[in-house]
Amino acid sequence: MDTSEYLPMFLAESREHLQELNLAVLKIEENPEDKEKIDEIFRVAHSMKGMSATMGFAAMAELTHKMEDVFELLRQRRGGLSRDAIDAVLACLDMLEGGVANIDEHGEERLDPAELIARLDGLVHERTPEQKAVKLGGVAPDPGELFRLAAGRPVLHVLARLTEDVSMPSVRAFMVIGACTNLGDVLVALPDEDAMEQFAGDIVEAWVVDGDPDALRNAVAEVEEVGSVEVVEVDVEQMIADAPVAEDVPEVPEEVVAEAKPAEGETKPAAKSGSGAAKTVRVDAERLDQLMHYMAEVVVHRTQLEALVSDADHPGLASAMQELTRSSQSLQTMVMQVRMIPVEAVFMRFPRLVRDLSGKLGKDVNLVLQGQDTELDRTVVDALGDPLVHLIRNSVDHGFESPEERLRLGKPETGTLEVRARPTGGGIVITVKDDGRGVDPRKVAAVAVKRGLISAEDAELVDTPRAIELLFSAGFSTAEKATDVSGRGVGMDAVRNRIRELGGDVIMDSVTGQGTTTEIRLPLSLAITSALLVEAGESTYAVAIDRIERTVRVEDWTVRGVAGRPMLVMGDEVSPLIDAATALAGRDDHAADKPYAVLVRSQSGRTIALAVDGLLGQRELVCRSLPPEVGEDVPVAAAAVLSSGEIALVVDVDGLTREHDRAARDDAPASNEENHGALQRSAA
Amino acid sequence: MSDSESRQLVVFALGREEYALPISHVHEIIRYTEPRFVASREEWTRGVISLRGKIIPVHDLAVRLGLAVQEREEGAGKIVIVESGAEMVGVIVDEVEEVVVLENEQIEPAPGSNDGAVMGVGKLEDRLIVLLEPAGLFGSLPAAELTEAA
Repeated sequence: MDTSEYLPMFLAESREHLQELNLAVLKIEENPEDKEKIDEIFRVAHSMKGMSATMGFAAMAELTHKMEDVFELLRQRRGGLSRDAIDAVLACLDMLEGGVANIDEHGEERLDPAELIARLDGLVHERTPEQKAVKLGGVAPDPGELFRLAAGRPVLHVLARLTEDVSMPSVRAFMVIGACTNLGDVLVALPDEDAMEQFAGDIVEAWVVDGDPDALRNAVAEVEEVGSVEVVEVDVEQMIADAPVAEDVPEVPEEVVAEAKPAEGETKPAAKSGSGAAKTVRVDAERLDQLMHYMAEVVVHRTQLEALVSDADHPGLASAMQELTRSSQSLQTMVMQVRMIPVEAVFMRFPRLVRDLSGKLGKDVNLVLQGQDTELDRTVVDALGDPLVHLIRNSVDHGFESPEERLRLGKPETGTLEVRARPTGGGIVITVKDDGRGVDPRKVAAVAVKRGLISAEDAELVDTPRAIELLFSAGFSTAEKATDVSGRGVGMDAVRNRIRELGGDVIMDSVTGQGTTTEIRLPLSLAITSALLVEAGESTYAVAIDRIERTVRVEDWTVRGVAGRPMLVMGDEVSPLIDAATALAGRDDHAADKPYAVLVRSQSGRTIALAVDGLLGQRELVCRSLPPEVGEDVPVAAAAVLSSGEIALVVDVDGLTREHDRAARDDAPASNEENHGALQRSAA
Repeated sequence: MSDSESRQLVVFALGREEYALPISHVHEIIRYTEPRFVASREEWTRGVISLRGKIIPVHDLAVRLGLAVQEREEGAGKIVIVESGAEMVGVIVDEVEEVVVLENEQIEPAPGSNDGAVMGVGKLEDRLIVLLEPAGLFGSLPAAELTEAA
């Protein structure tokens, strides 16, 4: 069978599966009782194994199969996997990743999994059939056999659970079976006679005929170290119908291969789990770009058609044209939105990264991820990966102290690294925050002197903001510490350059001894925002929802002039009332005459009431940056095309606040609170 | 047909005059749609329109060239999408007329104009066509250098 046409699909899916497994394994390490994750691991590993085998990548299939055996331990015992097992599984995932990369590059897997397989086998030795039998004390009875032995008599199933701290399981098992034998005819017992002596499990079972259920229950319950007893009548015929017994784990690779038809690459194999997978469809990124391209052509043709229609005179033509215009505009919006993916695609790598790094460096770090569902254009998401990885490495390597040092400093032993994405009025902000030692100005100054960036005299004057500036300068990169974790000549300047290429910026703030916060701000150009549409001066504006405190009717409250400026007074709350049309479009309207006010909050925490003519409702907007020659002097951050084809300008709330402050300062010279505001905020 | 000696030009009408841009810089021509007003520094910037989701600025050529702005009928007018460098801008004109080929000898330097917006004047039979310079038309020149090009 020629499978080459499925290869791209195989590669894409494998990468995704490996990513999912990485994440799930770490989750399991954290919480071994998470049933859903365990099921997910099995589902993903299983489909990975099937795909590899179908595509003829035997080493990958075998490795995955062995890995499944280790996962099987999760189902068999409580308390999860040992660190050794997790390490081995992660090594396995790494090797599989290598295999995928080799297939992509050379067309063959080029794996030598023998050593790893041996390591995995070492972990699962407990599950060899003989040992499994010791644990269970024998093999569960074959329903057919039971039926034969019962010969029509009703069968009682006695199940006794020994207490968790049972000291002599074999003795107790013997006593339980003995009690059953006294009260009836024991057809099958688990453990059976042969296994009784070595029995080390905690469940004793017996299938009994000619006994009284209550008497059996009481007798067994009286045996010491028996925690609970269940006695139920079993329907042997039903048992036969339900066979084979579910305990049989898929051990036979052939069966798996047969199951995984090549078509599986096209319909998502995960669909059977039903966990949201059925709602998504995999699309090649290139096709998305093509879709965009064709969409553009449709629009061109539509405009041509529109021109022709305006000259023609045919009943119904004009309205049909309008319909076409409207639907193609909706289609256009949709196509743009399809390109949006959650930042989770990048965040997924971090748990593994942090685990590996902190393990290697002897740090104890708890990673907190937030806002993974914040959406960005996929090209931006792709480009975000490396800068974020660098920031995380920096935090784990240079930021966090060792657990001992943290304790000495009176900090929690485990450091917290928070990576958070959130949409803002001006775009999206991704924050990497650690509670480590922070930037040490003296250390940074010393390095800067060594690198020839500053003179020895200037080093005395380096404070934290200056130190941060130095960290970002080209040529600072702490090559001296070129551990294989960070360093390697890629400095913060590279991170900043990368982000600036995307039209964003990087801001770092640090308090010595308390930690470092780095913010990556990305522009709206490609981001999607949930916004409230408002009408002001016959135009539509959009205000990012997360900046809105609330909306009010102006007539419900009092408007008072303070130093010639209107203020909206709502009880104790007093906010400057600014007319939107005046502030955003250079008109000259009176804010107090407007029916509504939208209360917006700037990043410095100040509230401003924006007076508008109408509230039009909430929309999901794909925001685009404005061309440089327009809107330089007005606080608008971006534009968004509405489904009607109309363009809404996105209000730059921070800009609006700054503008207001500037105007107020011009009127009455006040403190330069604004400048300090930013620093105090981020230090808090 | 188009050797280095000749230029292919898109000719359009503005008031009672004819202007032209090199066809290589004309991306497409769309019907006039009222731009979304955005306050801007240049008086000739009328706002922005969305071209296939991309937000592009729209300039009023008449204002840029210092011509008297005439009221346009509803539905009249065109926007020429001009490419200059990596940027695209929309230019409002009255009507797009035709594509002509002018030999280089038919083109003379613009008389008395030091404005970067005009490249020269082409003569085609008894018509005078003002050749515009896409790069100098908008943005790159300070407003002070404006002269009356008419």
